[in-house]
Amino acid sequence: MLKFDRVTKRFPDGTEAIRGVSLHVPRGQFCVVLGPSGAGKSTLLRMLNGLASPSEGEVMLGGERITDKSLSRLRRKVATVHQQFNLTPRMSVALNVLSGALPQVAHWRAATGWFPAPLREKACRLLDEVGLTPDHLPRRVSELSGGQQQRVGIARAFMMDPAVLLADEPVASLDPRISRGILELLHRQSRNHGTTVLCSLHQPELAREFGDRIVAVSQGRLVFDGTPDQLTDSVCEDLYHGALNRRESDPLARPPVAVPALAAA
Amino acid sequence: MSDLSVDRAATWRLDPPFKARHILFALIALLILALTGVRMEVPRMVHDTVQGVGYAVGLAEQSPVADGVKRIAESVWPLRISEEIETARIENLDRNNLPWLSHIEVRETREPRMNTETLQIEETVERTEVLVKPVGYLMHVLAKMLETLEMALWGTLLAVLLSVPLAYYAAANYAPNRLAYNLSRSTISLFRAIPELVSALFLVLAFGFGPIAGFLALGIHGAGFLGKFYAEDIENADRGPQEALQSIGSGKIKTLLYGVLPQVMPQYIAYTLYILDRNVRMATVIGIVGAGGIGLELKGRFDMFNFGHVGTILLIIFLTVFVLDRFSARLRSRIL
Repeated sequence: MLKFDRVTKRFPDGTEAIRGVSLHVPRGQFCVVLGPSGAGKSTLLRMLNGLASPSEGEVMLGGERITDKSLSRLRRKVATVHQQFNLTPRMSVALNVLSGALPQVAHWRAATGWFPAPLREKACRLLDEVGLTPDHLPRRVSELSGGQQQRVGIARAFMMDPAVLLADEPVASLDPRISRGILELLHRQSRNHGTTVLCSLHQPELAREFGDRIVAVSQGRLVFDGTPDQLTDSVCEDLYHGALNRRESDPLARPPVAVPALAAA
Repeated sequence: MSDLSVDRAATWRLDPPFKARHILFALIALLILALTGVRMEVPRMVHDTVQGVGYAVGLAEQSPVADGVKRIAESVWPLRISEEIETARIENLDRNNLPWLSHIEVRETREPRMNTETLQIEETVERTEVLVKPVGYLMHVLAKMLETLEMALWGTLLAVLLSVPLAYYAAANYAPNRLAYNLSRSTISLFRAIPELVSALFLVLAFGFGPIAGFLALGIHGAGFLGKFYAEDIENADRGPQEALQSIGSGKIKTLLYGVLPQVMPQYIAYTLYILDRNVRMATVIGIVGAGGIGLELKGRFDMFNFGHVGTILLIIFLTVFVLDRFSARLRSRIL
């Protein structure tokens, strides 16, 4: 379904966020991309929905190469759940979910907010599936809690029946207690809708729990690819120690927080 | 351990907030102010004002400024709100059915006149019958003020309609290409650079006296203002929601409608209300060059030295602006 073929992403300032990554994700798989922050997880995902384009190599979606030409057609099959939710504040929950179907909607309907009845029904059904109530429909998303906002984000992502769902650190800005519920929801929804998922996380224990398959990225390279069972504590330690070692050159800048991998070990 | 921290602290540096160059800048700024202050006659302004205040509290013998203010106050007061028309000038006056609140009075004026037979100066009494409308002039001014408000409203509407497409092309992240961006940016600058008074002057030549020239002038200047601020708000809006909609292929216009507009709406309403407020004030002024509304009346009365009338007009303008200000403050607090 998804395929990266020796992909490198170089930014204008010369830094390489992704270095020669090859990866194939079959249809219906829940694939977790694990790695410390700054490893290149977001960039990897952003090359699938056209928010970034590879400097070298090819990105394929359903057997088709993503190019400037095919992008506008292909990106309709890809939905994204964002770390910061990326909902429109001051807009109602209902319109935020409906905006997930904007590419299908005529301009005059978008301008007047008059979405076709089937789309409105679908929005209600999806909001019900993510555990919100009809009372939430007219409320501004900025009034909701973080967890509820991400639920709205998930409902929005499924508005166009995506073949692929990209989840870019979907729980990084949420309370750890809520994170599990959100990931369960994401997992269940993608199962029910038969969606292929590429989900980036930085917590190994969550990755083990929800991923069918786990790939790990460090400094732009793919350093691990295997099942949750194969992701042992020693692999995690290697992964996160790499990140720690880079910072340890300055004794004052030692990260004050416990890294989840170490805490788990 | 403590030795180590002492050593490290010695390498720290926290500079004071001011340095020699800041003092130099301050001195240069003072010098410029001193030079331009002399050209602007600031010393005379201070002298005359202090003298005027001194005169008011009884410390100074005389003050030209105080005399001027007194003359203005005396000529403006009492405000003129009534209107008198000679009945001889009114066609078909129905004496049994006079206009609302009005009544007929007879005025006697004594004038010394030369008797052509005796060649003596005699005092003659001339009787004129006048129709007095006690609030007639006030009503006239209010009607003119309403016209001014309508001009302001249409000017604002025109400004919004013009500035929305301009802002779309003038926002760097939505303009289709550099050419469209530069064109609309320069159009906006041009619109803003022409003062209403100047464009009204030319528009009066094109469209003749009346409100058309007035609201066109207001609309053009307002569009220059709104276009700039609308565009800058689009550019500064949070990118997150826009990326979310863009990544599923929503297209620019729909992304703008759903990813940007809800975010910037409060500012847009605030700017538009400010333009409406400004247009009401400007509409009173541009009437002076013949663009309709209360300004024309003001200029006419001023030129005829009818300062009682001028006082009424100024009071109505002030009250209108005040009421509008309260109204827009309420509207803003309800919407935001």
